[in-house]
Amino acid sequence: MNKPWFGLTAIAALVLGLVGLFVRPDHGVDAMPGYYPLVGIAIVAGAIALVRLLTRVLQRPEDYYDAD
Amino acid sequence: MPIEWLPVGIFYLGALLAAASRGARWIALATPIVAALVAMTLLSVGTAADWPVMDYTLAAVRVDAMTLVFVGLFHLAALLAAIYALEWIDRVQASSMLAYVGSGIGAVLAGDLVVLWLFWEMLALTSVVLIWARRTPEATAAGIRYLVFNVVSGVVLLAGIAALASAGHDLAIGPSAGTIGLDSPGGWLVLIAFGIKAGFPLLHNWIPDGYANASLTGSVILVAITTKVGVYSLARAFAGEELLMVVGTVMALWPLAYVLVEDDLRRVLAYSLMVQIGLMVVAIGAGNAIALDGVTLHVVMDVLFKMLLFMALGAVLVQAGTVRASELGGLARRMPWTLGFVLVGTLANSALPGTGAFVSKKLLLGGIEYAGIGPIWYGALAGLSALGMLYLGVRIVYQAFLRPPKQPVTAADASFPMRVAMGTITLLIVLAGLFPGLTDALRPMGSDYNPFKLVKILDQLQLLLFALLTWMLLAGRGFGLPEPGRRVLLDAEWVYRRLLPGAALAVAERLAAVRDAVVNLVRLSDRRPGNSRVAATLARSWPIGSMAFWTVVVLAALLFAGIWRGI
Repeated sequence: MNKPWFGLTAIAALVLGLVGLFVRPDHGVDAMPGYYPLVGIAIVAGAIALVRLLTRVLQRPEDYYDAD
Repeated sequence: MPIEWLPVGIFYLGALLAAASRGARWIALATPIVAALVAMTLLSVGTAADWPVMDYTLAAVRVDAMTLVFVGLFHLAALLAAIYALEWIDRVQASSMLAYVGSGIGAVLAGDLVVLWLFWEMLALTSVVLIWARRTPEATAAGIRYLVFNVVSGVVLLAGIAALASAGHDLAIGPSAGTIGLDSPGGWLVLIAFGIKAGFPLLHNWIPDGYANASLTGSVILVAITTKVGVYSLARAFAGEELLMVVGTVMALWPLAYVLVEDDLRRVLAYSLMVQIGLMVVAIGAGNAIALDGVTLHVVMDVLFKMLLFMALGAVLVQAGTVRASELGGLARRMPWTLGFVLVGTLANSALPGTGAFVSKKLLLGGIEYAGIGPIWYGALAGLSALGMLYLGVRIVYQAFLRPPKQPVTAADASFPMRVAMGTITLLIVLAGLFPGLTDALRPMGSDYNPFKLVKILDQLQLLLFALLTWMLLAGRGFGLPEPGRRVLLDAEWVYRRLLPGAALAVAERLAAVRDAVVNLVRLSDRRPGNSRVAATLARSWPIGSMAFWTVVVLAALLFAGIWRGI
């Protein structure tokens, strides 16, 4: 992983995360502090884990449908 | 026929001229412009026209603000596709494209289900030619499967219409018509027919199969019409049907594995299309004014950025000869324009603030949230933007353009007409993002929800940045996405490409075994002494004429017996 890019992304995420703790709407799902960062982390981690698992189960040789 | 069908007629006329003329590409370019001018003259909110056929009066045209958005969008898509394909489009593709777009416009103008069904079938018949136009064995097979799905959709729709009519249900659809609802079998049949067109889960495989195998022009225009007619029909007939919120969620999450792993990048885009349509279906289920405005605006944005991405991949296919992620790399230096367009398309797919898709997606999600779904459900839908950034950013931007090439790259950038088409779309996406007021006319329900607020922008940036950070951390520790490679990932198509043929083969083998057993029995009886005459009769070959004669005799006997009993 390219370290400068990672550092920049981490700093930007941190700054926005902190700002986001204070700038919140009054009602609705968005009103929960930290909701969107949490969704971002959860959905990517969950998707990668799921995809790595599913790929093992679902993958077949390229000529799978041509074999008949 | 009503004069209000003239824009549709111009497309059909253009198709005929393109098929017969050497200047097909110029006709493909001119037709959408002429048809758009005529449409602007003839069609406005409130326009209605009937078509008397025998004893019936069909509602040929019903127009409201939503109809106009779709009609305008289809004209624009046809024009952009014609510009993009200006250099190579042939008679077959030009004529089928024009007829296809005309059918799409006819379908959204329809004021009743019968007229809708007529254009529904025309859509299927004209669009399949755009897949076959690739002229490869894979395209031929994919086209047949595409046609089967779409024709089945038409047959189911017709059955639904018949069931609704026999139950005395109103067949009107569109402006001023109520929703059909699911309180009758006819309603369910119509929903299934619309669902096939929109790509409901388990009924969706014709989308990746057909779009990834279509000709370059085909994939660009297919993405704009068929599924969008499905979405439009669902919004007209089933808005507020809560079942759609569940179906749409499954639909949006189903392609997750495929977008992140598929090697063929056009298949990645086709699955990604399903994700976006899934979100639209959830919003249709929500059914409030904000959600329906979001659906309409997001259809426009989705068509624009998906056309842009399919166009860019078409340029890659022309220049590099493949769109397989495992075989691509290092295109950035050779195709900088195309990379720029892909970046804009990817950012729009991720609903980054500054793109029109941010406005449309926030509107869509605002409508869904308004329907009162829980935070986990909402998070799963809102988080799909982050996945969009992941699958298009990593799969297309990185794997095709940025990572070191596996072999020397000799590709050149997209041609001038291709760049004009892609540049126009890019401009539209950015303008809509920077000046969201421009999109107010694309909100047919007139909701006053404002997605362009600091807090919304901040939320979306947080979502995307934390998702990116998570991916960087995981990938840096060897827990990233699986490497692309030549393989097949099982999907619902396994049912009709392996399970059903396998089951049919097994049944045929069992029947053959039974037949052999009977034949052996007859042969055994043939060997018994004294049975030679019977065996000889059974073993004899019978002429077809004789068999037909005896069949007629038996049927006639049954007929007379029936008449006699009736007397």
